[in-house]
Amino acid sequence: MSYLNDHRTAAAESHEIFLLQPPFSFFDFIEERFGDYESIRRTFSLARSSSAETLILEQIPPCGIITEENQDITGRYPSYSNTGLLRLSFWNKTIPDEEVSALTNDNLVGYAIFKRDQISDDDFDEWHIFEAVFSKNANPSICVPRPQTYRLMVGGLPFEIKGLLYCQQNSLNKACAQVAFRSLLSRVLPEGDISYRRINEIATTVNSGYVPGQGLTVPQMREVLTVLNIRFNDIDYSQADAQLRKELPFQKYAYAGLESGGGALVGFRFAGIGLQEEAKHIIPIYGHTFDKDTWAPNADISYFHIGEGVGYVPSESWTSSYLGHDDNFGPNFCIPRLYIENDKVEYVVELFRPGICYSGMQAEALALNVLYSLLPNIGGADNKWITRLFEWTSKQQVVFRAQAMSNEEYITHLRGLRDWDNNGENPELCKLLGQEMPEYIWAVEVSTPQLFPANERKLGEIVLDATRDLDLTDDASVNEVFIFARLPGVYLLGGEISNGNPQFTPVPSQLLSHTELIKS
Amino acid sequence: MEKHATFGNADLARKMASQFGTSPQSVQVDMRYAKEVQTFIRKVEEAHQKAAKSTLVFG
Repeated sequence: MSYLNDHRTAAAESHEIFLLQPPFSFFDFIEERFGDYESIRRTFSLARSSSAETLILEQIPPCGIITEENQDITGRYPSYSNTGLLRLSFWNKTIPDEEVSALTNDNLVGYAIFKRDQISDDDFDEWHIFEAVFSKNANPSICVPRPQTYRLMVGGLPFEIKGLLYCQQNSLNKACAQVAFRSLLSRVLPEGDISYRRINEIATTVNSGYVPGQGLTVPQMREVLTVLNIRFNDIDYSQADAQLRKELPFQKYAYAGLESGGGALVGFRFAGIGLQEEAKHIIPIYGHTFDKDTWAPNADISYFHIGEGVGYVPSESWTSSYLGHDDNFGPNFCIPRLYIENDKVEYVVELFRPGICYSGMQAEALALNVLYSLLPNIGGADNKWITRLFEWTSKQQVVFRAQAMSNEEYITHLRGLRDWDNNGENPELCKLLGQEMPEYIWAVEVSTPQLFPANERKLGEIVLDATRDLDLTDDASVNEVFIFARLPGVYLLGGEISNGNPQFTPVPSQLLSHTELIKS
Repeated sequence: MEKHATFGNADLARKMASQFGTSPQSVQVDMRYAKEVQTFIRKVEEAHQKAAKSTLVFG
């Protein structure tokens, strides 16, 4: 295990156990132990709403990336000291006689590491949440694609929890940008986490006079991603006019990132009580709600227009809230999708999963051209679903949902699919596709506004090579990433271009109607 | 040498057709929204390139 996990697995120096049934009060506990912090109150509220019955509070020594952080702060503030470090774990079970061995991973609803920083020369004395992970709400309408597994020790025993790391700034060696980055990078980096020292070292290469506690510039954020080999798509709206905000709304970037498992950072301006001028803040977005009965997809406003007169219904239409953290206020919030006004958003970056070279937005646009162009040409009158799909595309009532997948993930999904008559795909065909497809793909799922929310099913997908950059040298080259379209009863594979028009080779599919959506 | 653009992987199409195909007929398709899609994809790419010059700070 890398040193990046040392602080989670550190042996406790002492511990206390609290049973949380009334009259135990978190309000009293927080005020007695920590003072008044919104983020700490939120953490305890999450525990209470997750039916936590036991709190184990362990005092741990600084180690791993916390030792690094302390060294880095001391380098800037010589009178600094880390005067408190606590690992708190919340359990949905009352444990008898302090027997931690009675607990399992299923009992762990969340953990947090609280850190106290003091700088005697500056009269600075603050607690902050170095990190916290809480499991996703059990409500099935809460979707967290590709959650990360975090391992920790409690009472000398190993446990693990799935979720997405929440981190808070301390304004000393990290601000909102660094903590937002660490949240998302802990999921996509193969090593499972990153230290603030590493982020700040990379940022310093862009601006040598950089002060970490004041945050990151956009060029510094881009450099961090580039050095870590994480591809991304971003936009600075302060450089754009109102039309571009409309054509490339931040919600598209955010949803593309979170749906494919990389997540997104949304940077915005805000004004509030106590602020002399508008401040800038950035938060990580990592999940979404799925509201089956929402009215929005029926409204024209829900259509996403690629160009004049051509559009589709994006799958995000059934999302009313993003799931994200706000380091000022705590972890795991639902942030209404339309609450952050478009003109307040200054910057958004969609992170790609490792191996992915272009955006989910671009993948959906390519899929639209393929589907809308193919359907009038393939006949298929003997399959009623093709006929229906043709009707829906002519009215542009088609739902697209881009999913970044490994070859293995896609082939496993394809092998497991069953149509409405319980037909499965030919295993030999799946095997050949698995042998020939690139390591990473975009599978742009195709569905309709009735099928998608009600049954969580689809009519196929447009599969694109995600491992190659899009070639924008001319209108034709960009389509080189196309691999195939899978529609009810047929695969259509690309090939040569003749007289400016591509030729598609049909191959029968045993999946004749709608199938399940990809579950990540 | 001029680049020979293809629409996908012709080798895969041949292999799939030879093992699992039933019809020798390929389908020629007029890509109806090529211009709109190209414009959109370029717009996304241009915004991404332009962000390199951003002066925004988040802290």
